[in-house]
Amino acid sequence: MNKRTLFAIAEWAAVLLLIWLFYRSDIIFPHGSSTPEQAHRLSESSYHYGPSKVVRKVAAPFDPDRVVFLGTYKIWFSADTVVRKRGGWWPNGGVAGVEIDRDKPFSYSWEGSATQDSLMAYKFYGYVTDDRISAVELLLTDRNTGKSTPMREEIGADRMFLFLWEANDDSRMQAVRGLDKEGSVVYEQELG
Amino acid sequence: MNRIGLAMTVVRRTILVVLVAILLAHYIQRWAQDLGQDRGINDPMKELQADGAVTEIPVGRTVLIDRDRFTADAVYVTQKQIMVTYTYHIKQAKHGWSFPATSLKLVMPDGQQLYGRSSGSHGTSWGERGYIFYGLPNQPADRATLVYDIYDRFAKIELPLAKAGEDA
Repeated sequence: MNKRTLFAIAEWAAVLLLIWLFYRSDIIFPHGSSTPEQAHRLSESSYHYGPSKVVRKVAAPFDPDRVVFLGTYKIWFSADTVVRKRGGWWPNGGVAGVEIDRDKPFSYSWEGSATQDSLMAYKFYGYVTDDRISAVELLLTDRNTGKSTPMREEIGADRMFLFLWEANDDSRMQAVRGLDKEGSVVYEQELG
Repeated sequence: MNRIGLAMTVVRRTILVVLVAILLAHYIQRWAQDLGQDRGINDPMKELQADGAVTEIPVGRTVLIDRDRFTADAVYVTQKQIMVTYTYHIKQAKHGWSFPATSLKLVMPDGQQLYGRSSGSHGTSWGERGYIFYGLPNQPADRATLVYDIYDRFAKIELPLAKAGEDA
């Protein structure tokens, strides 16, 4: 191998090194975490919360690039959302733990964030403490027609529930109910 | 063969020059940013000086929050407010949330708790620099405790105050 070839190899190696540095530097676009799990873990640790015990990992039915980690940590519950943008995963919201109120049948929280298609992605989640409650129902009402649409989730061993949906401003959350095995309302909380 | 070799050399060296130029500009900019003393979009010193005389008290005390290092740099006291400046070195430099500065409260010797009224920060490659504004305590005090209490994380730093809350 002559000197010229060796020099060319060294130059190509330098090119590769610089391309790697260029990628790592996030100059063109930040590339996020490589997996939703890693994004979730970094989200919690940077917020000084957790690590939570993840009971469910749920991809939004309307957007597979939106993943929610439902979980508990000591006396709190959370539904940390991470989203995929430009190939990487990023924290999006819900990392903050909400304290479980043992004096109430269930504790809940919700949030909405704008999506790329000018709609809102909503997340309503909570933790059930009343053993009689075997299902939770969230009632959405259309502002224009007054028509109500219930969303229902059975409560399993983890005692948590999560509703994910995408909507415009026409619908509002009317109430959340805890139902027993017979479908009777054990507890109802009016919302906004 | 020579033409191909020549073309490859031109391509390789062009890539090298372009990448070196871009990376140099990037790292110089980041270095300047890291060295900068900015602590946010607004200049908090202007707000303090609008109150009149400003007493600056260096602190320089550090606590660990998980693996992150929080340093209270200085306290500034005016007739109307208190400002604490901080430096925050994080273990995880990317892809997380910025420091939740509003979780920092000032606890006075008589037990009164002051919550941050506003805050600002300036991100760097290793963390951030920032400031938090507090109102004055009901009772004049020459010291206070800066407390970070979020979930099960707890940290505190004792701060000298130069009789904050005392009428001039």
